[in-house]
Amino acid sequence: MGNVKTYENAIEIRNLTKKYDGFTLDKVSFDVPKGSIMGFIGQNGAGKTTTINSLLNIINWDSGEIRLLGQEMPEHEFEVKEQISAIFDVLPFNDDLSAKQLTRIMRGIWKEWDEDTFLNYLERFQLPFKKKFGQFSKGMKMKLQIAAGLSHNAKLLIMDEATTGLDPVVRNEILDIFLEYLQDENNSILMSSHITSDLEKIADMVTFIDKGRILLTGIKDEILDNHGVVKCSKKDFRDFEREDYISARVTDFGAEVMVNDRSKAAKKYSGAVIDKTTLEEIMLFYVNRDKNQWS
Amino acid sequence: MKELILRDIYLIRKNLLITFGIFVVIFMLGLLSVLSAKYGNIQKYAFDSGLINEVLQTSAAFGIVAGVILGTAVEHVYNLIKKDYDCGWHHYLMSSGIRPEAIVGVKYLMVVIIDIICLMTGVGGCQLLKAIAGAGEGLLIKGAFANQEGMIILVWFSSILLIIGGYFSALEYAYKGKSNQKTDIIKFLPIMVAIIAGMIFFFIMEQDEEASKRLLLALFDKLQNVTVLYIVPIVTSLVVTVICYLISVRIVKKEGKRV
Repeated sequence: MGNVKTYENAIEIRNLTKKYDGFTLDKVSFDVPKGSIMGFIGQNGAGKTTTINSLLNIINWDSGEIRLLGQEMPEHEFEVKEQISAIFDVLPFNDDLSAKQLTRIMRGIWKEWDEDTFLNYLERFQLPFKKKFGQFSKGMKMKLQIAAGLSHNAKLLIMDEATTGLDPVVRNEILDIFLEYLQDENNSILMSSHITSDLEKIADMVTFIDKGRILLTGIKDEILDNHGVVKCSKKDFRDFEREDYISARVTDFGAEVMVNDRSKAAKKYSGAVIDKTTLEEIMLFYVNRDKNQWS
Repeated sequence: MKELILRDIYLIRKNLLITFGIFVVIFMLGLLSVLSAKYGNIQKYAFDSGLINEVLQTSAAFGIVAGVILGTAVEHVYNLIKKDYDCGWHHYLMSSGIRPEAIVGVKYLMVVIIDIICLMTGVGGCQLLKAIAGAGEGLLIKGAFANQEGMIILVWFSSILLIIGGYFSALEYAYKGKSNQKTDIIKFLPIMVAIIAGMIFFFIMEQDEEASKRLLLALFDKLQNVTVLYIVPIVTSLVVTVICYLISVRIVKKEGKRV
């Protein structure tokens, strides 16, 4: 059993497996180091929410090991959850409630609920205290959820598509809040999203998941440095060996080939121009990895 | 846990007030009729005392009707379970340090508390109308317990509502608030079966008047004791509620194992 104060990784997942009809979360393994933000990327239906629900023991998984904040789950579920804040894509507080009522309710849910912190966030986000949540905009609702999530001394934020549907201004504001949150090195964030541009801005680590399997996990900058896109003609593409690339997008105008080792590809295919890539491109090419080429 | 109860009260207080308002209106109708029959125009201008007694008896029954309607307030609680699933509150609580026993327990406790409060209010109203109207033969219950008719009917009705509340709550947890034709059938089937069985019973009784009279007299004899009239319905309803609570907790703990 790990001591909460001496753990290295905020989240440790080993061979997490969960089977449904038509979908299997298949031996998912990754770590979120303490003090970091992990971007958890995948298309819709890839298994992000299933993984998060398994972490939170909202659903029962079939096999595997999970440790949160150094404690094994589900044995230490309730003491660990006191230090975790889950933030979802929709506001889970009924539209008929107000912030004034919410703060009273939260006292009974979180042992370390800090009303002053909550009120400070409300003021900072310019959220009304007595207005019902049904009258809030989507951005206001997300800010409210984040304000509530950051007001009980949580050491781990787990966010499930929390920035989806928000405008760029609000998303930027929220991302700044997360960077502030991580000023305390004991705090960590797992952020699932398919908005890869957000994760490129703030994530330290990324994990790609597709069809219930982890495709890639590691330090974001290293992943971006190692991967690249070779733009070449269709004729030149024929020279590529299959094991040297992830997948290729071939059109009438040429081919874009995603490689996962730029230096090796540069040596082997000298003369090829290898461009830097983005997380979004990496996701696209990995999702189509089973195809030799796609368009 | 009290903050979770507070949350539910915030959300259903409007509906509770509406139900209470309906109770007050019906109670006031009964009260005005009783007062009129005792001291007002009905007393002054009625052709015979038999008519006055009839009005008094019937008006006192308004207390029973008002109490019955008030008792339906328990539905606001189990309807809230579906709303909790729909808005994600249930999901949020499951991600927090609150145990499933408490998450589910809040709803069942609310059903019991509201049921008891409504019962006491309904009985109070009934007894007040009865006291003003004066003692007399009950409409449905004769004999030694006739003057407790309102209380007896409301105790039985509250007990039935508590059982229904527990059963409906368990179903909401079983189906995670997602109702469809199948869940509606499962919900109302036992009630429909009970009503149809009752109708068949009364139809059979009507075929032989003598036999039905003997049966009813024997039934009334059996019912002339406190245990049957009060303790049996209360204890049965509480036991069923506890069973439904335990089933609901088990369902919530096992969420995610089913597709």
